[in-house]
Amino acid sequence: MACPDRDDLVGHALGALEPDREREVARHAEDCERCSRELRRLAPAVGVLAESVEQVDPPPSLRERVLGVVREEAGRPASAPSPRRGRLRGFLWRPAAALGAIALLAAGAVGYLAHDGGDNGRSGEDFAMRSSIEGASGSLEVEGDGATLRARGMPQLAEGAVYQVWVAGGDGVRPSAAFVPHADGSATAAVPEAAAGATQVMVTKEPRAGMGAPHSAPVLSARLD
Amino acid sequence: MNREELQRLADEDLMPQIATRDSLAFEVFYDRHAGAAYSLAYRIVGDRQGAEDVTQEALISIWRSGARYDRARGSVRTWTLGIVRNRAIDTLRRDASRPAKVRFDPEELLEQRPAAERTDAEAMRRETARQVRGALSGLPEEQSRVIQLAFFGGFSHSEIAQMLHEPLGTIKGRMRLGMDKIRAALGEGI
Repeated sequence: MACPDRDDLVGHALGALEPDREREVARHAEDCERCSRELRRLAPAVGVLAESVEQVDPPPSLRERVLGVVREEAGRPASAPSPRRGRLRGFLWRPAAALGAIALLAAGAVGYLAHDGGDNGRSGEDFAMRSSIEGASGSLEVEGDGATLRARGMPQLAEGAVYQVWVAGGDGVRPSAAFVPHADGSATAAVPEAAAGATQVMVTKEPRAGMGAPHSAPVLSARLD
Repeated sequence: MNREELQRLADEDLMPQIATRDSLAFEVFYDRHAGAAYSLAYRIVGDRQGAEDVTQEALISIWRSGARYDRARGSVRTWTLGIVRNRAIDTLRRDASRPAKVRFDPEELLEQRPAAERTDAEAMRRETARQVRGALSGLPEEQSRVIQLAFFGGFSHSEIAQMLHEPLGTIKGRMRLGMDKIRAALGEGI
């Protein structure tokens, strides 16, 4: 694709492009130094807009809620890398989530993909995710000590609802990133836990962020072992 | 690191600490940026509950994604507010009954904290925002309008052209010229 004109670069920086054109420009800019440089030049001007609004104090309760979630999740021990890849040995889940977790196992909606070998962790592997939603798709790219989930065609959600990523491993099923798709149905989420010995990554629809356990069958899933 | 040490870190150095799941580092990040995040969310969605939900989702997503900040996208503040803006626009689009708040009403009652409780940082944030608004008020109205509709309303070029009954090329040009003026004003020091 040829470089977009400046009108479209400015439109991209402000989120004013149509979804298809937005995707084209975003993909082009990833590989084009000239357009990336122009977008970097525009970033401070966009930042100024964002900071120009009348400043309003958030309520103290918001701080308590956000930091409450963060402290709880920070307190969970990080899963140790599995010494070898193997079948999932068992789940630990809270009683109230039993139905959801069983649904995750029973759905069987797992995707397999040939991946690079290597016995020492994962590096540069891509996993296609199987989807239970027509028109939706996802992939998990594992690189070094990180992993990125990319979704496309995800339906929009009711207010407050999120798509929640879950990671299954030797210590059970744990929540990872939560996301709300962009207007064009695309989403990107970092899933660092997937690079540390996880055997399965799943996405469910949840009524709100911060759920401790899944409450529905997965809409996207991939098996990593 | 203790709180005092974390508070001395620049944003760009704080983010890797958050990536190690350091909740105290995230607390410092929250105290620095939640006010600006909430203010932007409130500006876009127009009500406090919606602003709280958007801010909560955006900040928790930053925590859960390992705070993978990309310096190429500008400052940590700009990057954070970009995430907040996108979530707020998505909320607007999901809830069609909530009209886009494209014009801020200065007479609307805002949540106020007693002046005695305001920190220097909060006072500076307010003063900076006031100065920036002053600089932006120098933009021609037709340029300011299309930029506000796009950034705070989430409207596309073509939607704005339809709303204002103007040619698409005219709208694109106004947006570009307005942003060029903002960049020039930044160069002169807002």
